[in-house]
Amino acid sequence: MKIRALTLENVRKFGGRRVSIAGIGDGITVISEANEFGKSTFFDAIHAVVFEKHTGTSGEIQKLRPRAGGGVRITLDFELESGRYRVEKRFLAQKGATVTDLDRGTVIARDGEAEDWMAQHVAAAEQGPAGLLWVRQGVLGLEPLDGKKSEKDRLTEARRDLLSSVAGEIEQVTGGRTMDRILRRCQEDLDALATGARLSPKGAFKETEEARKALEAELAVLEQQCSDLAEALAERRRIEGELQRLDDPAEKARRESDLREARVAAQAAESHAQKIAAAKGELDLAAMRQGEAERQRRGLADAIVAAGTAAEGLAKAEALQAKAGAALDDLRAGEAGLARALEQAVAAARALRAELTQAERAERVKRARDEAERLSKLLEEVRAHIAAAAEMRERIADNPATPRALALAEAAVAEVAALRGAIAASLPRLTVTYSGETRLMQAGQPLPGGEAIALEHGAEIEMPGIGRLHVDLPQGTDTEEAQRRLAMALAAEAEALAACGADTLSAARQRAQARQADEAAAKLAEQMQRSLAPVGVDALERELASFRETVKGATHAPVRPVEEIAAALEAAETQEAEARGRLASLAAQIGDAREAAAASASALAAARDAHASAEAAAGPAEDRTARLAALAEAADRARAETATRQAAFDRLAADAPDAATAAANLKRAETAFDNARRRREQLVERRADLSARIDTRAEEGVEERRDEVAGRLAAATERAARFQAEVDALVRLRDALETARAGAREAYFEPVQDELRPLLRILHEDAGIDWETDSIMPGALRRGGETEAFDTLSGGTQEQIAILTRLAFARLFARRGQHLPIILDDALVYSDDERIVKMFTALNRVAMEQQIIVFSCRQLAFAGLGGERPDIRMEEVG
Amino acid sequence: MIRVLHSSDLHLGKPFGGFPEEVRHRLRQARQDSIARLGEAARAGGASHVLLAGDIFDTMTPQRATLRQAMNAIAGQDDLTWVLMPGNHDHLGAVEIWGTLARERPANVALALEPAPVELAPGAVLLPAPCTTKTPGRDLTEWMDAAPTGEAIRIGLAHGSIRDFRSVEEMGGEGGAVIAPDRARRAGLDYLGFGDWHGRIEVTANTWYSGAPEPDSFKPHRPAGALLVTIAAPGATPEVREVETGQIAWTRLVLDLLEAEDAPSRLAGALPPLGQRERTLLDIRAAGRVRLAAQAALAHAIADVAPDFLWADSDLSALAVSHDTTDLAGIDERGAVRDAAEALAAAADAGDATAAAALSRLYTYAMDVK
Repeated sequence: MKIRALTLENVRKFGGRRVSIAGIGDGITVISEANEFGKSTFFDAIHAVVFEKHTGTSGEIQKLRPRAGGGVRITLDFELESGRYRVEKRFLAQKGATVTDLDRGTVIARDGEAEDWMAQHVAAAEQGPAGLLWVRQGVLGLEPLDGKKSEKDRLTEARRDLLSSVAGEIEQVTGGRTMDRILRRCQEDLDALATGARLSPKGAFKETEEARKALEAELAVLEQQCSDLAEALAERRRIEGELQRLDDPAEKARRESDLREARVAAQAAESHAQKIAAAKGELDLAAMRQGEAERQRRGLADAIVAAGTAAEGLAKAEALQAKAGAALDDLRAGEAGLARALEQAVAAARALRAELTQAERAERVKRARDEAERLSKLLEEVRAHIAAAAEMRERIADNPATPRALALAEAAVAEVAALRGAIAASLPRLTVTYSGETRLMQAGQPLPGGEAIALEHGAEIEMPGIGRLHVDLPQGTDTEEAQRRLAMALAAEAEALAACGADTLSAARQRAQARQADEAAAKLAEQMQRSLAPVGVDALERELASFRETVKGATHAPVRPVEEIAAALEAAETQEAEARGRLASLAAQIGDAREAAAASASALAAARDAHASAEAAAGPAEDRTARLAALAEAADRARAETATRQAAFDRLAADAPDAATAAANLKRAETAFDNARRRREQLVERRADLSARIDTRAEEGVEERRDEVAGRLAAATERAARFQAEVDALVRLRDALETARAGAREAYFEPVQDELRPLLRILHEDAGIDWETDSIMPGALRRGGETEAFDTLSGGTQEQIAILTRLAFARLFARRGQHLPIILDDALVYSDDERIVKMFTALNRVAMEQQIIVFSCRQLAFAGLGGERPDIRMEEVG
Repeated sequence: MIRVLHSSDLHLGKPFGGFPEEVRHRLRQARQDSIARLGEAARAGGASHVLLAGDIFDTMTPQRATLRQAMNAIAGQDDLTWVLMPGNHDHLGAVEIWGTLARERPANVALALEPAPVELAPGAVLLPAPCTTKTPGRDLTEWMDAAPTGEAIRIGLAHGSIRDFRSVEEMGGEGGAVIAPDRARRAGLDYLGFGDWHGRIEVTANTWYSGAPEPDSFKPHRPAGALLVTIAAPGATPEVREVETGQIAWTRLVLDLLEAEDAPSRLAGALPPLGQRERTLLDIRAAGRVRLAAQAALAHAIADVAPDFLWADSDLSALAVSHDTTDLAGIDERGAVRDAAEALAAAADAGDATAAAALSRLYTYAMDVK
């Protein structure tokens, strides 16, 4: 499609007028007029005649109405491949539409059919791109927020509007807004039910899942309780059956009869057992008597033998006693001799020890005396050194001429000499050459001749015979300063010499030498003192006093040498030890002899006792045989009695009933009886316990609750399954939509990229566009190795990319055989001069294949765009 | 002549846990109220006795309140004699029930706890076969053959199956029928009333299952109610009249749809009258094959009418959904959304149920955003 002419009649600003633009060419057509001329009216009119039905009453159409009202008429001439056509639409009043074939001069469609023809041939938004590509000011996303939509949504929509003319195509291919809305709905529904990458249940799904788990847990508890209840009911039935059997009268009578019979049998067995016990007692008594008789007979026989043996033992003991007493007496005699020898040896040793003590003391006194004499001399020497050192220190204290004081004095004297030399050097010199004897005098002294003499200020020179020569030198600042410094130096010199205790430098040096000598002498004396008495004088004096104390009162009695006494003492002590050893050995022998004597005495006493006892036991010796015979006879009688009792006992035992069996039977019968009684008590108690538990559970209605919870669990499980199925379906749908969109985007935008690339390079070398994944709009600009989000680009760059994108679409459509006019309304308002020229280049490049119509108020700025500039004709209408 | 009202399977205390709390309450209350409605039916029909053939209580240990309220309701019907017999749910082992009733039963209640003749009225004897356990494993009615009743009318009362009403799958390989189907003939009974099966069944002219007085499942039974049985004389064929006593309807609508059918219209035509809906539990099972649009329209229609009912649920999982280019074009003419729809449609055609659900959802979304 190519637009050739446009006529507006009674449209908005052009109320009551007809405005025409004719001769619109193939390439660029620029309609450049000042603001408020009505360019946007042209733009809106083109939009209305192409896209709006003549019957429409939308806001867009209402905006076309002029202030004075009335119908609106818009006529558009255009070319299609099939020919040249004119569409005329009347809006708002006398509504109508006609399409005229200009080549044939015939109207080919009216009203509804005209709209259908337009929709089919021009505004084919449903089947493909619209007939026009729009670039309109105010749709770049740079305008202030309206406060209703989110920034992202607003920008997305703005960019969609920017591409509104191809929106249909994009929508068709990528799903566009429909895709956005469906995906949003799908995601919202999914978000309501699941969360996170793992799609964990959320919201109602989560509540159902939690309820299901809680019901499962509750059901498990109730199942257990029901199971317990069923067991309790079954156990109680068993108990009641058993109780019934226990309480059965016949069974009860049988248990009692059994017990009675067992008791009778046990009593009979017990009576017979008592008879046997009595027979046994008599048998035991007879046996005991028999034993006693035999014991007495054996005792007498044994006593007679023992009496003989005891008499022999007594005689042996008496012999042993006598022998032991003699041995003890011999030993005691030897012991007395040894005791005397020991006494002598002890006395000799004691005397020698006293003598040795005396000799040792004499030795110590002698050593103390020698030491006292040595120390006395040493102390005198030390004291002399102390006194010398004290004297030297006193003299040093009186002599201030330290090396430092002397050095200061020497420096002060040198300073004075230097100053004086300097002053003298500056004085005028007088050299007198005498021709005669007369001499000039100064201070009473004749001035020498032939040598230069410095003349000081105020000096008086007597010139005998002539008069006095008074030297009066000019007194400048330098002279005064030199004198002042000299005076200071002199004062310092006097002070330094006084610090040395001298009035001249030589005296000061002598004083310093004396001081050094005194210090050396003092140090020597102190060193000697320390060497001789390193522990101090007081310690030496205390040591001396100690030695003197030792010596005091000592006599000079003559004694033998210590070594000689010690040798004698050692010999005496050896003799003493030997005596003691022999005496100790003898004492041990005496002890043994005493013990032997005591033992034999004891044995003798025992033998005497044994003999006496044996004799007593055997009785008088004369009737011993008769007594032994009588005892033997008594024993024989006792044996016969025992045999008789044994026979009687054996007879009773043979006839005895089985007492153990009777007792066991009784015990069994009693146990069975008691068991039955106890069992009944236990059962009754257990039944009561079970009944209480059953009552409790029944009251709680656990079976009803179990069934109820089971039903609720089944419902919750089914509900959860439905939620899960819904989540699965939503995930499946979302994935399918995203996959389809990604595929469409890739397939659709690659050709656009190919078209865009050369256009983009006019502005930015090596630049490229990334498309947004979700909105499928230009999302970022790649240039210079960096990627910049579309939203962060300047308004001018955004605008340029938007227009270039549109131009790329136009090129693409052109290659497909669809020539779409590109209409720019006050576009490129954000672009600077350099960029706008590049954009003009891009527009001209595209204009080689596409028709471009530019509306602009920037007459100067768009002068460089080139293109045709048709006249706008305006006339009044009736 | 004697006239009795035969009923069974009240299942008092049944929890109905699968329903929301307010629905559970209504269902339990309806079962409690069934005692009064049985009394009214008996009185209206001129019966002197109400014979309850087992499963009066749902569990062996019902809550004491359930027990007491049931007895109080029966006590309120003191112009009638109520005969209560244990079933398999409340068998004789349920000491808590029968022990309590033995101590506390109202004067107009007779307990049939032993297989022994009970005189209902002069000339009419009841031969009960109370369940001894949940699954006795023997024919408890056998004793009736030799029970001496003289010339009196012989009425048998039993609980259990004379044939297995369950499917093979439900039985799990075990048969449940142990009662001889011709017990009435063998024992010379004038009437044999059964409990256990919750729907009403006429086995022979004188052998009937009364069914429950209040429905408790969506199984296709006859309307819940009881049997008014009139026996003119020994050996006479009893006159059996069905009386409805159900309060809450359990309605399962099975919509077997054809592709060309208007699913919402089918639904609307099958729904119960408006006045009944408030006391109806509705379970819609759609089957057959419809187009995407029809499926969406049906789901919408179901959601629209659901609030009319005491409870409503639907299962469209058995409803196959077909689609052609027109359906897919309804989602989008072309483009990525259409591509996604076609991918899902292909997967759905291959048997992918999740894809089918996703496609339905996509259709709904597409309609909404348009």
